[in-house]
Amino acid sequence: MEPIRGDALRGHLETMALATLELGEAHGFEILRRLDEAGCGALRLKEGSLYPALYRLEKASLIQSAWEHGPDDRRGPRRRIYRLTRKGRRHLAAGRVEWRHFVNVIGGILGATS
Amino acid sequence: MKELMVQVERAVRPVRASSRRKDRMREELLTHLTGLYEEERGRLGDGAAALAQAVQRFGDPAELTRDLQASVSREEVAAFHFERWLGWRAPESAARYTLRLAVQIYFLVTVLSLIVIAAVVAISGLGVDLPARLRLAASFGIIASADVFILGLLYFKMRDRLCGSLCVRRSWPRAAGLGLLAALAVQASGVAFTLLGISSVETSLDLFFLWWPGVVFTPLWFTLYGLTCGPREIRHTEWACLDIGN
Repeated sequence: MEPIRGDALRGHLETMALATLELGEAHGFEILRRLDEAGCGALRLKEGSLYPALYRLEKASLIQSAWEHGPDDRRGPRRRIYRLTRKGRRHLAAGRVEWRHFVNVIGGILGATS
Repeated sequence: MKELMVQVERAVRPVRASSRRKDRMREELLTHLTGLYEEERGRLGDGAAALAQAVQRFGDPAELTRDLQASVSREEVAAFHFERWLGWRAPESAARYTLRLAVQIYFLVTVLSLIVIAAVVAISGLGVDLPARLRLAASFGIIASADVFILGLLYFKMRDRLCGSLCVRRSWPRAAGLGLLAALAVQASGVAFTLLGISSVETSLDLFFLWWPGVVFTPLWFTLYGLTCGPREIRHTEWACLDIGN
């Protein structure tokens, strides 16, 4: 199976990020790990592009974030932890309904639905 | 690691957002890129190859800049323009920045003073005290801009002594000395204002203690502000002055 690259994912990344945060709060690296795991390694995403998507979600109040309070001896820059808001959960539920509808309609046209 | 910082800065520097917002982007993206680099180094065992692979996984900086810009609100863009006007612009020195700010403040105060005086004249008519009012406004403009220059410069030097920066070693005694100079500058500017504005040595001496709250508060404020915001400001300077090539 061909990997799914960034262009095909454009427009879906934000909803996918919301779905990973439904599993619990996480920093950017962890969100990508969850996406990779859920996509069985088929997603080929330029990893930097996750952050603008997270900033857009935060601007829309769908997620919240805070700097991680790590141990004082932790090396390197800090990590920012993201978590889903109530509005984000509602948005995710609506996104799932919309996606099923999209798959049914386009799948029907392509003759790809069972 | 400097190469990783350069990659991040190539993406973040062109973004039109407030310095605070950009510092957050820098720190977060650097954390991620560092994680990628460490992961690749563990896998490949070679630093140069790991760096190339991490950068490839991270994505094209120009594309990332466009995406980051699209995530910035209009308020942030407005803050960016405001900071470009009144804030520090890399890589100017503290002296050049405070001098530029002092000139801007001088013009701002002069224009505002003229508006206020014109309004007073329009309401009360030309009175005998108009020259005195003009003189007071002119003195205020001169002293305010001189204060911005001198106190601004003293703040930056004090902050660097309190927090330590790339070229300045941390030193509490020197910071205290600079705080004392700031207190003296406040007292001197208070006396100079009354001398220039009212031209009376007697009044100037009568008002000598009027400036003491400022004399005490200024070094305390510099210390508190420097200790709280200084590390972020210094980090921002390091990022903004980073050589990222063309």
